[in-house]
Amino acid sequence: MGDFLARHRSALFAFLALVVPLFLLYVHGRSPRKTTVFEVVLMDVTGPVQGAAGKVLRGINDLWEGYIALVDLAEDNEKLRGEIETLEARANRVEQVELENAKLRQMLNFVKKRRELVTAGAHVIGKDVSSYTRVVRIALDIGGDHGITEGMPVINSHGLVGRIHRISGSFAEVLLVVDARSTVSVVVRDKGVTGTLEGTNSPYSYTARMLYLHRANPLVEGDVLVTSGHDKVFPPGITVGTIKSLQERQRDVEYELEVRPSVNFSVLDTVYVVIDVLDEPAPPLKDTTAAGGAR
Amino acid sequence: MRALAIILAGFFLLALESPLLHELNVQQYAPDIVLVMAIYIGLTSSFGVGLLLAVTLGLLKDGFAFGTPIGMYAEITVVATMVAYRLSRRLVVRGPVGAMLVSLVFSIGASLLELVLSLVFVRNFGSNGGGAGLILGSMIPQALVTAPFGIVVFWLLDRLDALTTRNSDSVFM
Repeated sequence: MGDFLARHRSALFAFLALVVPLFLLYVHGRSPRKTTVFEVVLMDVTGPVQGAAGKVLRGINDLWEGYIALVDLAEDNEKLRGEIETLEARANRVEQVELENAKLRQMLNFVKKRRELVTAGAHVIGKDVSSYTRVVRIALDIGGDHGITEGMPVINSHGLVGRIHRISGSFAEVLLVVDARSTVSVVVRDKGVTGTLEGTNSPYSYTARMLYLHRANPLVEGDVLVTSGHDKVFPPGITVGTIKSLQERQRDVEYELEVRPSVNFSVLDTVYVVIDVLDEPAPPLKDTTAAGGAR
Repeated sequence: MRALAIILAGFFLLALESPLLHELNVQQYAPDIVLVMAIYIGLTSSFGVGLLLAVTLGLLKDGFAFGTPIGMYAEITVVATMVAYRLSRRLVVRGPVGAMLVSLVFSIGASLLELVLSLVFVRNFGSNGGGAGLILGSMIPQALVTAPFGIVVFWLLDRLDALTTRNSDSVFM
């Protein structure tokens, strides 16, 4: 036996190296919606490193934009130009703070409006590096330890981002609404036309399609789609997108329309995970920092 | 020591890849760095060590690339390493052009293999648009983006080899 193993060691190595990944692929390709132990382990290994790398790069970027570039220019242009640049830097910082304030205000207004939603804030720490799937999934810096479970809706102040797809202790992965595997029950606001929103995985733009059976009212471009709540996954009334094109296509017994999501997935940095929906909304916020969230 | 250094380098490059592309806003042009590492490993390592490194790096890539089921990149990396190992007896890769050409050809092969594996193993593959068309459409741009990284990764791993094994026999130059 030992002799056999020694003689065929290379062949055995090759066999194992080919079969083990194939087995993993078979298991994970067959039921992509279930999180396996192996996936949790991999996320736990890669998540902290990816989070740290993101922080380091953001730090370098901030340092470059806020200091190093200005120092280089100041060396070239002596004292007066240096002063101008210092003022410019200060103006940039003020502008950045204003932008951040506006974003936070927008988020706060959203949370105030939807007080029935119990949310947890999260930062986007990574995006899919697979070029074939584009940015259809993102990684967040919160996970099972923060009470996050699979299927929880993820939103921001512009609307629906997606749902939690896989989780580990400290990290979670989000399936975006533009992913072809995503389905959301939607209704056209003020028109009452209900249907299902599906992602398209388009490599060129973030688009989704709405499938519906019957038009109770005529639809127009720009009509706003919100979640209907019929799927018992997404709370009703969250903006999903707008009708981009009215060129209907019939698919089986359904009609389909092209939809532009309300969220720009390329610039996502902060999102909210909806942990619970209260029957009675929480009392109005007094302190602007206590934004109705778990975090 | 060498194997550990290569794994750490791969881990580091993969960890930086996603946030770096995000910061530069060029996510759609992700080079397949692990594939280039697999080629280098196949050309320079013994068979057993090469396969072990390939499986580890492939699984790491699977961990970072959420879009594909786990095992996909591990399988592609193992196959790339085995092919590179077989070719290493007949093919001598020298200089930046060689590294680029080999990376280009392997990237196209990897895309085709990903397509085949997806069709065989991934349930609902391409059932809602994308799918095969997306992989085939991205195949050439992906190869063109990966090719220049052949130079960078080969050079990096060459330096790493020189540091960890004190071996001056370079694949790259």
